[in-house]
Amino acid sequence: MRRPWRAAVLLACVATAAHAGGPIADRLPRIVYRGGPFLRHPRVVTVTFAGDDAALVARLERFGDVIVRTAWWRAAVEGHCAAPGDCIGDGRAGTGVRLDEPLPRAVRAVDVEALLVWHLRAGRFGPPDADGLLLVYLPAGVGLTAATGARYCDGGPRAFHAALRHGRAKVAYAVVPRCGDEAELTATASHEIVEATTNPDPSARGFALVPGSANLGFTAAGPEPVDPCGLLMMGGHRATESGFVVQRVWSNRAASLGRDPCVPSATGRPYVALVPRRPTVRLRAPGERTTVVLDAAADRPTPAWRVSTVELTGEGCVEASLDRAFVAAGETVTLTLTARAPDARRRCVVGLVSTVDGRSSLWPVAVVVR
Amino acid sequence: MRLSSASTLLRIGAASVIALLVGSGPAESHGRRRAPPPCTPVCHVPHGNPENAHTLCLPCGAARAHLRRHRDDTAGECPPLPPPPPEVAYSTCAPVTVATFHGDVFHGNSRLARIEEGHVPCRHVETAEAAMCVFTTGSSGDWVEAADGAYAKTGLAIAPTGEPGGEWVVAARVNADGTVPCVASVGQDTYGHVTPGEELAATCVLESMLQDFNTLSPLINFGQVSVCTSSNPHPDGAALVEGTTWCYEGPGTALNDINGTERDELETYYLDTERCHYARSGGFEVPAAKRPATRSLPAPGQVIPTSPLVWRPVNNNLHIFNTIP
Repeated sequence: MRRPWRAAVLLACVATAAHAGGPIADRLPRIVYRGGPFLRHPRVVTVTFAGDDAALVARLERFGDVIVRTAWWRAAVEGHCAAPGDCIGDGRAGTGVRLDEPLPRAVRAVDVEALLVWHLRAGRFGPPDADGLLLVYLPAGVGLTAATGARYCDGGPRAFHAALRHGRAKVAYAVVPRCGDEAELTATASHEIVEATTNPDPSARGFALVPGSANLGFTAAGPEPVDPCGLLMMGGHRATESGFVVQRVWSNRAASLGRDPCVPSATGRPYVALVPRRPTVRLRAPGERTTVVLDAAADRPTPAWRVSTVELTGEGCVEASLDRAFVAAGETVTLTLTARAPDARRRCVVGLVSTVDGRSSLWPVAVVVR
Repeated sequence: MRLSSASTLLRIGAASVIALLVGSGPAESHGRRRAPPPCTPVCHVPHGNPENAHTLCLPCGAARAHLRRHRDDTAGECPPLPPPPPEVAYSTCAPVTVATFHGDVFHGNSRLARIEEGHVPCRHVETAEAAMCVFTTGSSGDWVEAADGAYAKTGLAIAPTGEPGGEWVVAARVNADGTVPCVASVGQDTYGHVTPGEELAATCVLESMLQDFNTLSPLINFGQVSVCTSSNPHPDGAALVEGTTWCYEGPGTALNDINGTERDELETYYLDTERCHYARSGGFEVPAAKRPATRSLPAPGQVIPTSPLVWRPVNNNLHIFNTIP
């Protein structure tokens, strides 16, 4: 049997810029090419349903048409190359398809996939296209449930992307339920467009963070290029592009320069962080305690800033404290971690929060309790 | 056996001097057919192409000069080439879209065994004997509902009568194209909610049952508990703890994981193809474990330390090397 092409290119790195960013650049993880498929020039097919708000549908179709050809897109996919010259580039003009059939008030993810397969076979989405991405917006009032039983929106996940089989090919698609207004929808859709482009088949990763224990904190929200930004930016993970709200995306270039790794970054704002010298810590029993030295770092001269901790995995896993409340670049802080209940979760994530000019960002520390 | 260059030159030099002093070679005589001149074998290693090494037979003086010019060559015949490595075979999964999960052990790319008329293929955890085991949804173990039917998770311990925890392991039937069914991965927009975000390797290596060698590379799976075996030396080079019963621990100790996948010291799965192991026989596939033999019953079972470390079906009844199942 022939050795799969995937193994041959596993872990071929995405091109990165020069390294000159101190501890931030040293310890931020990088997106790498992991051997799976990706879309070179995505073409978004915006799929909506009859009876939806016509004005909103027109805006969503416009969003799918233009967003993959903007400055935000170029920043989001910069350096995503499997080999020299084999990169993700600008997308192509998108189209809109409005399906006629009414949907029940509750659908499962598998039902949506079956519907898409049926229309795909009927030619409703046009001729087969290796760069096609079906972006489905469920109408208001239609609830979505995952195979795990999780319900989307209201504290659950906001969308998903996957691949469906069409003959011998696979077609990337994403489903965005109606969790909010237009800003919410386009922000979530921007997330899915980037991740369905970089990883159209999540079973075979294209571009994603380097896996492994060293990056457990950063991959806690998922390994694809937008996932860590929602975690790290603490509400500041949105930007505006061409009149649409989008999410910020991990940039190897920014990371390697020791800057805010999520682009586009807020211009004029310093990026500050507490950078742990150990990214993942193990505590073997309840009550066990350990300390981690943190390096305070900034991407430009910045006055002392406020620091704190937050447990991202909910209360009860680990107790975290810092030995000071304010810190300046070049100083160190000691983080103390204590395992809590014997039935605690096996993996927890503590956020090291830095707040400057009223905006907060965090750096994750993973704690394995066992 | 190859000789070092220095000793080779000395030997060739001495032989040449002796030949000059006593005359020509041993078989020459007047009026009779001249015997072929004696020659010195030299193992010639073409520059940049060491795999094409071959033996030359050169006159003594020429051999000496040749060895001066070709630093990679050695006197004597080339050693026999090692046999070509066995062709590497892989297990590749074919995702099925899951409508509903029943159980929480499923990752993306988890291998699945189709439940047909209340049965699944199964293998004995020690002998790898084939059978069909009853699988009752709701009581035999974790399973999923997919568009084209129901599937059980491979690697589950089961009894032929369907009770969980028996001495048999659920096996996947290999598809006609050589793939096996598995859970399709889905990229969730988690939007600040912390989830594992992990999936298993889609392609894994196939190991040879009851053999101690690995298809691709030595194990690095981190054993948190020392394991005792009759194997010495350890086939994957793990650290010896006690010399009398041959107990080992640390990286490479062994593997007994329901997903056939190696983990690091912090129990994070390695996602590379070479760190994920399955074994096939008779058209069925099980997660492969590299472990000593075990006895599952009576519970909680035990490891048999007088048995060797070889590839066997996973035994999900025992936590042999990792504290977390």
